[in-house]
Amino acid sequence: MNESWEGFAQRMQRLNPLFELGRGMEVGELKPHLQSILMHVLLTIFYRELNDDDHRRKSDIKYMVEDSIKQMKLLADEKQIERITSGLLYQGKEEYSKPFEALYYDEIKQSWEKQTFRYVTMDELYTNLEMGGSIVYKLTDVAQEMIFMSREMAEEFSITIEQLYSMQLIKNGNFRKATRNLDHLISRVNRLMAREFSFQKEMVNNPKILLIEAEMQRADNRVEIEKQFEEEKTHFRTISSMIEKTKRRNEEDDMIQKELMLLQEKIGHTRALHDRFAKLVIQNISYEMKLKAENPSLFWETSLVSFREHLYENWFMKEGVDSFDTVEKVLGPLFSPKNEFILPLDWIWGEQEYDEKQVDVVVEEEAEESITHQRVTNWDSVVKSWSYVFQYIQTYGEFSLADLADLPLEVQDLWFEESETIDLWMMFDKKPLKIQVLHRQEETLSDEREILLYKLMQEYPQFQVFEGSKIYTKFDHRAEPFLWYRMKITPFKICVQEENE
Amino acid sequence: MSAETIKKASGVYFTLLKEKVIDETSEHFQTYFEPEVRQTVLLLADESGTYIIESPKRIQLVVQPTGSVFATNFTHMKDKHKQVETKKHFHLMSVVMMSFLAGIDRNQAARIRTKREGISYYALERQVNDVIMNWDSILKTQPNFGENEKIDMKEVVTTWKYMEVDIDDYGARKANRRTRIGLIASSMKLLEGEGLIVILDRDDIPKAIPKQELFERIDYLYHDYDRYEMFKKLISTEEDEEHAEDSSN
Repeated sequence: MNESWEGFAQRMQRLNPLFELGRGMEVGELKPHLQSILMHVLLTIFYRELNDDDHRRKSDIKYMVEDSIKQMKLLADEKQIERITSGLLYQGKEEYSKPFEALYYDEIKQSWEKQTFRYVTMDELYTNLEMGGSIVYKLTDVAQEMIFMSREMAEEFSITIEQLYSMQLIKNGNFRKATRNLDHLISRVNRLMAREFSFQKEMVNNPKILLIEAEMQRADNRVEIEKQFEEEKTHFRTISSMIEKTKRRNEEDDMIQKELMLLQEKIGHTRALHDRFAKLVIQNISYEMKLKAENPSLFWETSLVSFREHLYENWFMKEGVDSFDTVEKVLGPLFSPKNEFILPLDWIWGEQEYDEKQVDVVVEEEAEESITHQRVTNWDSVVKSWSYVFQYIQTYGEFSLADLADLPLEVQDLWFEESETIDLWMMFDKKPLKIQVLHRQEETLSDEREILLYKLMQEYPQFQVFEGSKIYTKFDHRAEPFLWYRMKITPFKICVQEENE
Repeated sequence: MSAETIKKASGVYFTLLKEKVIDETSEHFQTYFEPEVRQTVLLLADESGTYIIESPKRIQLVVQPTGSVFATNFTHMKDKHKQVETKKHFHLMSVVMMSFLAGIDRNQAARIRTKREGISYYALERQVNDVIMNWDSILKTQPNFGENEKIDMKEVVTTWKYMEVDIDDYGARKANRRTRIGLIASSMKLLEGEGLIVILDRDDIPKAIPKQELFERIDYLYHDYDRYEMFKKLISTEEDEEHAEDSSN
């Protein structure tokens, strides 16, 4: 089965309660805000549970709804508040007290299944069943899961809350769940630690990050942060001693002992992790202080002027320009000097490089400009450079481009005098050429290869033997493309086939 | 000033001239920050009409707006567009670069985002278009301008307005002068060649991603109050001169 289906049903069962939150409630203009209101109510219940506060009856929840709406600067009438309250407790009519339902696709059974859940349920510890009072509600696992999910997204120092929650669970004898909650705590600490690490790296590379992520500037709160870490350490100690006590109280219960052992191990691990995290944070804070002391200017907020506002919006865009010279003066200093006079060879290659980079920028410009002023090629230099190649060909029948680098250095220099010289290589890579130039007029030659050969034969009569031969190129499969003065060259070979072969 | 200092300083300065940027891993980086060496390098830079831009990670060398003895990729590009017909294209490329700089010159948080997402050529086209349309209305509301006034601007506006945004051809997004996107591509290539931006998604919807080097140059050049005053003066004197010339005609 496709990976995307793996655990799909489980995922959807976790997500459905989120998707369904507040769905189908008729509350008019409050509709877009419903989920925020309900989530806030759930959080309120969650914290009351943590603090052993039993104000979690329906009337309390109604008050929570009202209060949340007020705090979110929204307006609601009594009817809407009633509707929202009951909408969190049941699906549909209150009279039926129906649980919520949602569909999910079970990838294993390959069928649609129905999932039922509630957000809140009776808290038996607090509901006085004998006295027949009203129900005290607590969050269901489903609702807690939602809170955990959202908590994973909100990156705040909520270690304390995780700890309090674990204590709560241990107190209630829910050891397995306490162990599971420690996993949350561990993953939280791990995540925070990873964040500290990358922040540390970023801070070293680009101290300005401290400005951007203002909440990560903590030097001023150092005392508080240290206090918080102390507090968290105390919590760990409390948890450990709670476990110890519970262990002693349940000495005869093997099952509980086992669970407590597991819990204890986990606490040990979490504690060590937490210590490391605390150390990292303190380390980052002291690094931050050092940075601030050494480069105070880095932390002055951006200057009074900006390009966008002062140059672009207020001048360039608003007023337009009388002369582009001004624009060029503004843009000019963005660029570095181009030095073109270090060494003759460097200079030529500087040019070559430049042209190379510009090739596709100015393709058209190049073409157009060549019409306006024809390039004048110094053929003497070209012919001389190529004479070495043909001399080689005359002797060995072929010449590989790779051999260029083996030519005497002064010959190599010659190769860079005229760009035409190198360009001609590419010309030979076209279709084979039958050499018939000797008895023609130079003016009638249009193929640059022919011009070259014509000139070669005029200059060096020994090359006249090539007349009538076929000249072609062969790709040299064995040879690697090689670098010759920053030019990457495919080492094809130029070969000559004699007429009568 | 000792001979040793001068030797070190010129070593740093000429390396900067050759490499344009010296990053923190270079031996010259440490040398540069020796107080006496730094003073000397700054002197050399100023005398040759260049600025040195310092940041914790690197130092960069750029030309000053006036009085530099050096050519740059920018002046090269200008030289290539000397003819009457091509000059306006160079002006348009300047407009594109101005718009691009404005687009990335935001507060720090937005900067990080731009750095991650870049600015697409099409988004940039809209920004340039805003400028041109604004200029168009400036020109329309001031019809009594003399022939010589804002003549470049008029040409630029007309050229842009009658230019297609894009062509459906394969490879049309390559640099060219026929389309707006082509012109944008040329301008971005220039900045890319300077090592100031990275271009991604070339074959799809190309995006220009500013590099830290560019932000450092912007900070130094355009966020400094003294230098802003200098630019302001350059702008106003240039324009005054224009007016003076015009009135004398």
